[in-house]
Amino acid sequence: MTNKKSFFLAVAIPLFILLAMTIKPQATVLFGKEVVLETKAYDPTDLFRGDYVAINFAITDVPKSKVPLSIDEVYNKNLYVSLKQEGKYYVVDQVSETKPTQGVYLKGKFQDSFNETNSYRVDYSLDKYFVEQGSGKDLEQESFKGGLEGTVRVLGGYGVLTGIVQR
Amino acid sequence: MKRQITQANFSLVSKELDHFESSGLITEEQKTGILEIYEIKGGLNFIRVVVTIGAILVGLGILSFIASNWDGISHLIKLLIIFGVFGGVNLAGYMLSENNPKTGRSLIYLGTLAYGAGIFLIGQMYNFGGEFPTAFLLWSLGVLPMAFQLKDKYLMLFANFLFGVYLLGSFDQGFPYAGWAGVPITYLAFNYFDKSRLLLFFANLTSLSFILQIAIRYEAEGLHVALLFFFIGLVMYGAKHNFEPDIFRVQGNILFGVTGVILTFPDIWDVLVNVQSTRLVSILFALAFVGLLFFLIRKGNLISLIFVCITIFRYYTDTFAFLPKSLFFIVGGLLLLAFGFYFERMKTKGGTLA
Repeated sequence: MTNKKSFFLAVAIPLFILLAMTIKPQATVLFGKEVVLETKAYDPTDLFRGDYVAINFAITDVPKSKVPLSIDEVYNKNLYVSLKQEGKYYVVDQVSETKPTQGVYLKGKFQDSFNETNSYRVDYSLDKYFVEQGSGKDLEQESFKGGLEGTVRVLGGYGVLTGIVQR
Repeated sequence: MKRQITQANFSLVSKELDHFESSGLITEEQKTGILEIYEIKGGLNFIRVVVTIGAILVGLGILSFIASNWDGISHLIKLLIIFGVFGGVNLAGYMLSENNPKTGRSLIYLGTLAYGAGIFLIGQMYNFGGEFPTAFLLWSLGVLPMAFQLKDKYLMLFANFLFGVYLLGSFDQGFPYAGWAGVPITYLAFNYFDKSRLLLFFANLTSLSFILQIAIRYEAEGLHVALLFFFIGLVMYGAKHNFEPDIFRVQGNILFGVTGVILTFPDIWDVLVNVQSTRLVSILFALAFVGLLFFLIRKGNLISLIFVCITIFRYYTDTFAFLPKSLFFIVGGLLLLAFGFYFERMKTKGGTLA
């Protein structure tokens, strides 16, 4: 390989990585099913991605009664959480080890809950909504007044948080 | 090939040779002959420093602009700007590499920072949750091809640093599997980049971080982890080999020093002995540890002296019961003074102890 070719390959690889990063989330935004979830929020900052609203969805706490597995099969494992619509919001229906064949479901990592003994805490990687610097405080205020709701696009167990608004 | 030494060392050699010549030990021809062996190593170049700092500032500006998440322009336009800047500076860097190599190289450095900004922009666009250690893995992965292509050890160092951030950032995000590939690459790079000692230093640090992650993965007790690293440190310090021994000795010394101080804390021992005995065990360890450090100081090791000071300071801040502490320090200090005096007398009597 000539020097010129390998140089341009070295430039192309990072561009390719950037493009590849967008495929899964962009496909989800385009083709995923939209679900609305209940949420609470506050406003911290990340060094590289800037201000965000930290979000705690209601579906993050999954009651142990909905998990038909022993604690060893659950703790630190990635499981599928099926959702069902109740009124406006989607709530937890059931939990399974295998990918459900139908319905809306999210893949999440199960952990012990910090405050409740009767539920697991599930990490869906849907806990941050990035906003322009300084504007997170408003959403935080709204959140104290009566909560927010978040819209999430879901495709094959993968979710992308697309927006949060006042309830 | 000529032997490369720094400007300062060259002046020392030539000054000493002048002295040998004037005292009649060597002739002028011999002096010139010896000086011809050497070549002054290129140190920091002013222009290189200026353009590199310039590139880093612009890069940090881009990273900070992305973090501001200014919504005057859309995410898509920002992504296109990042692609444009990345492509542009790399192209310019390539074209300048012939006639203005230093500026050219700094533009390529700028490109790696713009690439990183692109990763965080995408994280923002799709509201990726969690701590995002994968960002640093991907950043490192993207810097690597250019580092190898240009055989630039500073880019490689940056890639290694980013990989280290990924390893340590994965603390509560699951096991960093990329370590199995990444750690060998850091040593491969050391070999490929003309055996730069700086790279070996960081390759060793990466291995140690990865070992720590493996220990955490298997939920090893704090005591076992500390003991493991204490012994790794001792082996790195003490093992006899010809492969860059200085680097291994310094790293080993710092490693067993730090873990040794950690092991002087009683609470860490409660997995091995019952709670009543932890204090005794930790003090026995501390005595053995300080004994080892004194042994090494006698052999001329100054880093050990720092750890003796840290250990003493750690005990000084340990308790607010001042009376027993004052007794302990005065008795301990008097013992050391007495030992030192005894050794000094042995030495002046022609002994071989010190």
